[in-house]
Amino acid sequence: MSWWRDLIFELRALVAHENTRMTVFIAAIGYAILYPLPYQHQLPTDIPIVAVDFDQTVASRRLLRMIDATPQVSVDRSVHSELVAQELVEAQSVRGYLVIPKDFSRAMYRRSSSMLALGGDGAYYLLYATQAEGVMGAVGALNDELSKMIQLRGAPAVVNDSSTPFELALVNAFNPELGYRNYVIPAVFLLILHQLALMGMATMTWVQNQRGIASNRYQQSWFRESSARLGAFLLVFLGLSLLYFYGLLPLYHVPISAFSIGVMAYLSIFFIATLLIGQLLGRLISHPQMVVVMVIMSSLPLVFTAGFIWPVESIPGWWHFVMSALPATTGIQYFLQIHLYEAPFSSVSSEVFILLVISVVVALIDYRLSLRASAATTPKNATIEGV
Amino acid sequence: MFRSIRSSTWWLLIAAPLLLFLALSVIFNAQVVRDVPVAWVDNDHSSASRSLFRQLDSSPSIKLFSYASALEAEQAMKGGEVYGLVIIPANFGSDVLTRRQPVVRAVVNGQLVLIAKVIRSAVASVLGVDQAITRGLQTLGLTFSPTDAAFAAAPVQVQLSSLYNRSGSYGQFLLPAIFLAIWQILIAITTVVHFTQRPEGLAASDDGWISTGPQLKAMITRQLELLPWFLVQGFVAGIILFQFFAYPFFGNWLVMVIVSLLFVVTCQALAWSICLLVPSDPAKAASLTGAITAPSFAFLGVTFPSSDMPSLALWWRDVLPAAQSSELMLAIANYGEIAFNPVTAIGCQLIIIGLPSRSITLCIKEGTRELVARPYL
Repeated sequence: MSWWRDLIFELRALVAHENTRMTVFIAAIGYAILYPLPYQHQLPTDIPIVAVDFDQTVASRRLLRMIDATPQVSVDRSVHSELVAQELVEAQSVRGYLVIPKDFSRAMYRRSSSMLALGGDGAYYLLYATQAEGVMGAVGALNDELSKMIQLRGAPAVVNDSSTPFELALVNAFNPELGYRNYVIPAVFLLILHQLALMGMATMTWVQNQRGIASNRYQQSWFRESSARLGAFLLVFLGLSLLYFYGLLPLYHVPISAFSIGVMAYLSIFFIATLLIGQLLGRLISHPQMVVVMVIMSSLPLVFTAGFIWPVESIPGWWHFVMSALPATTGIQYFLQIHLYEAPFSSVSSEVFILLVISVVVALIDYRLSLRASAATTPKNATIEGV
Repeated sequence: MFRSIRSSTWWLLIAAPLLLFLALSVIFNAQVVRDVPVAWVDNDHSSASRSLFRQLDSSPSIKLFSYASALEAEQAMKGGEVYGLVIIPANFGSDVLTRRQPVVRAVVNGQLVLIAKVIRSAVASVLGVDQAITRGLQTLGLTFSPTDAAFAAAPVQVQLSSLYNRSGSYGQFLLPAIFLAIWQILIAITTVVHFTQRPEGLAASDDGWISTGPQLKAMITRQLELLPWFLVQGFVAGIILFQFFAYPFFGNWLVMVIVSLLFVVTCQALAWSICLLVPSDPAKAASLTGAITAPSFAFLGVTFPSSDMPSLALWWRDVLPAAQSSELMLAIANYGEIAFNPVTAIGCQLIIIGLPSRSITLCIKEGTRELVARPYL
């Protein structure tokens, strides 16, 4: 019974203190709106390119129209020299240029193949890849057409003999159009909650320590204090997870699996580990501003170590191991597996083990520190009482 | 000048940037994606399928792992062990010989877009049309005019070249933008920490820095003493990017320094405005700085083009110093010139620099009562 009262006490403290309230609730809403903002359109569309058409025939113009018709690329204008085209790329008014050689249509009639050249701005590499995809798609369609024409004009043997030995069916699972919204938002959402949990819990722990709650309310019982605060924060963050992953993701049209207890169980373990680290931080810092600074600085290294952008296989193993002390490093990948790929709960068992190890180790350190802190304060309290 | 900077600020000025720049250099040290695990399911076990395996496995970006069945491979992909799977159908070898065009299925995990693109291009270039034809010709020993065959297969071909990033390095594409985003965070947060610190000797419950001494002069002095250190941070980032990783730099260093100086001042101005907005609370000021600067990498327009962002995102982008500067800085490094209109970019920065002046006039007019720090608890 009294544990419930402690829980409600901690919940109230969380809501009552301006900073934790802002960190946990206001920031959770603000970030959920701000982060997905750039990716509202799933894919970059109609990337402007410029044509350098040395051929200037019906055939070349038709090819340009076909390229313009692809969703990826739009042919913005046509210039007469590659140099001018390159200048336009450098002025960033277009992202690439396509050169059609002088004898493009004549080569077609002579039955020799011709070579187009696409130069894209590789400094914006994903844009470059998208351009290439669009141009290759249009050229592929043109080639199909030409092959059919050749077949009709009476050289079927050539075509049949040279048709590909096998076909390749290349499919994207989970995110069929390789959309950016689906790509970034679920993973970043968990990272946001992870960071907010760290900041909120550390701030609350610091504030309660300053208030002397440990001795005033919990009679120096580390377990009573931690479990109440952990329980309160866990409730809040599971609530926020429900909002993020089952409320907002569908709102942003990100496909998710149906609600499952497994996902919530996984998130509970994830947040317990995270919150315990937050509590430890709160005990170590001299002011909550420090933890805010630490959390903000760690965000970008965490994003790129978490493996959803840059593959874990390309990150040095020792670095990944060091960073695994934070739940987000490995936790995000496993969360995607269980929430988006609908992998069974058993497939995250190794991660659950890691999270439990983190929790136990951090809790032990925290317990030792709290003992030392109470040993340092008790005599002082005693003298005060004595006076 | 040295004495007025506190030890916690020194950590932020020197240790934090070194640690962050080194961390990201370590993460992206490989520069390109190599040996991404992909599942290989061979239902045929013929010499044709084995030769396909060897060709695919020799691609530097992927590494094949054999799985017994498609189901197992799919489980492995869901479990994050592999990022894609290639399935060779039964009777593949004999179907190729009898020209029945068997279908090789390849599935990639589209959720991880960058990795998916790497696998797609590797699989498509190895198993793709062009090579398959030449290979088909070679292995089947067909006899007819090779030019006709090449023409019939692909009358029009495209030569792709990635300008300004010839090796197609992901490091060169991502790292400069990440460094800029980190630099922005460093400048803004350090300025906020430096500003919200109380002068030595004042307890937490005493008045904040703003209530002591002449306002404007004190503030500007505080800004200026940090400025050279921020420039040194940028210099270190530049050394890592353009010397250690040897990314191409075609521009003029002097222009880069001027743009950097403007960038630093803009970031400081942003932090300054935040401090004046929530003067009573150092932690809140830091949170607000984080809220504004931490998501900025997404808004830079490097991974996702700004032209495809909704207008709300573009407005937000205008407030971010890094968004304006990234375009300028990338142009200087890659193209060697700023050919596009720097007026809007610099204009936006000047507006941000101008923001605090309003806060300052308010603070001078209404006195400092509102700005005095409250006790934290």
